Amino acid sequence: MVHPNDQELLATFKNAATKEQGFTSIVKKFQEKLYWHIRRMVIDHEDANDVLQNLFIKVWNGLDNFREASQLYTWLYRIATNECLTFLEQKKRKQVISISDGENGLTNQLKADTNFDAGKLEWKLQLGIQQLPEKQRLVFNLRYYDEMPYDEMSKILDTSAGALKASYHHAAKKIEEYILNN
Amino acid sequence: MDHSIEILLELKQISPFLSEMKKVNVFSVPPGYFTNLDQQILENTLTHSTLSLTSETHNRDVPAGYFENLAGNILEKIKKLQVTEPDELIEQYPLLYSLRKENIFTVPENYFEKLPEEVLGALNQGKVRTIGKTRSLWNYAVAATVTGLIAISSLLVTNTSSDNAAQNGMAKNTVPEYIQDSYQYKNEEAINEGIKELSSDDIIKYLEATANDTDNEAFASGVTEKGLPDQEEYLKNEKTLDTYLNQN
Repeated sequence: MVHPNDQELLATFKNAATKEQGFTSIVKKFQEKLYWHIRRMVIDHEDANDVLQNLFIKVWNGLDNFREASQLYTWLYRIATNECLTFLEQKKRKQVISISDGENGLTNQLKADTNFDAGKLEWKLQLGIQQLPEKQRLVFNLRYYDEMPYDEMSKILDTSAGALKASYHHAAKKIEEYILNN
Repeated sequence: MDHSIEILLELKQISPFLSEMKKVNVFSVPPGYFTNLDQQILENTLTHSTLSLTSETHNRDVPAGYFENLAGNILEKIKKLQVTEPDELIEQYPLLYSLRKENIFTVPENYFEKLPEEVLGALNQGKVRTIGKTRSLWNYAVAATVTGLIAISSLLVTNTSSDNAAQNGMAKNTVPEYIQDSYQYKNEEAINEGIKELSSDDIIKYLEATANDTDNEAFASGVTEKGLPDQEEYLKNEKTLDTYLNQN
């Protein structure tokens, strides 16, 4: 499916007569990428759906103030990332459990999946990813799955490209170690 | 789903084992799921009359038509947010609704019209006090300036004493040069003018030369362990501390 470019989308959105049409096009263009980014962080579909919907409501409210100097998808990823972290933080608080238990919570969610197969490498990889601290998990997912350049990631996570590279390196090593030892 | 060459080469260097693994999305949806999910999502959205986005049902897979209808569903919710909120307020809390536009606070006449001009004026005169995120090395520069002010004030006292000393017959050329320099600062206005002429380099040099335990203590009191970067961050990025200081 061919989507209009960002400038066209923004122009459509900023025109009061075509605002809804512009918004719908923006959602359609970015929904799947953002959904999977969120889903890999929060694991559960319903949670991912909640986060995604909140994200787009924020987009609707904030897009008029969007500075076109930055890329739309960077801005959207940034909001998505913040929403994910906020959601996970709230979830931990609701469950009144520690950070490490929270991560085990996500691991348990993974294991509860009807398709879960502990013997399969791809599931072990997911379990390995869940052992990482949240920000390292974000870096790994953005690089490994979304194949995002460090420069772009740097704008989303407010961290230098060098630090992100180091973080990805650590993450990959930890995951490898986890898979080989489990 | 394959890795791009760049990502693959990078991963190969870090972990040959992981680079050999094929990328599989374990969260993939059952065949045909996306094409048939739209009706389910629409029904789900309609049954959720409230705007609460939380759900007690937790399905692992993406419901049929999920992506196809997402934009429409979100628009619906936004419309509800915009339309139902005042209506609810009118029905349930009429008094609150009647008061919602009332502002009990007043501001001086033409305050907002003049504000940008005043802010700009203050900025030009360097009178704006920055707080929060913009706190940086300038904090220390300001601290140094204040310390300098105290020092110069002390010198004024010395100056007076020196004048007295001169009157008492003490030769002026026995007074150190830096104290003689301070004689030009006769009053607070002159001191302020003198401080204004200091370059940031001079202030930083002054700070570096005179920083003491009091400065450290003042800095330490503003630092919470929770806000400090992780130890790992220091190892990964040598500029972590600079970044932290600039942001705090």
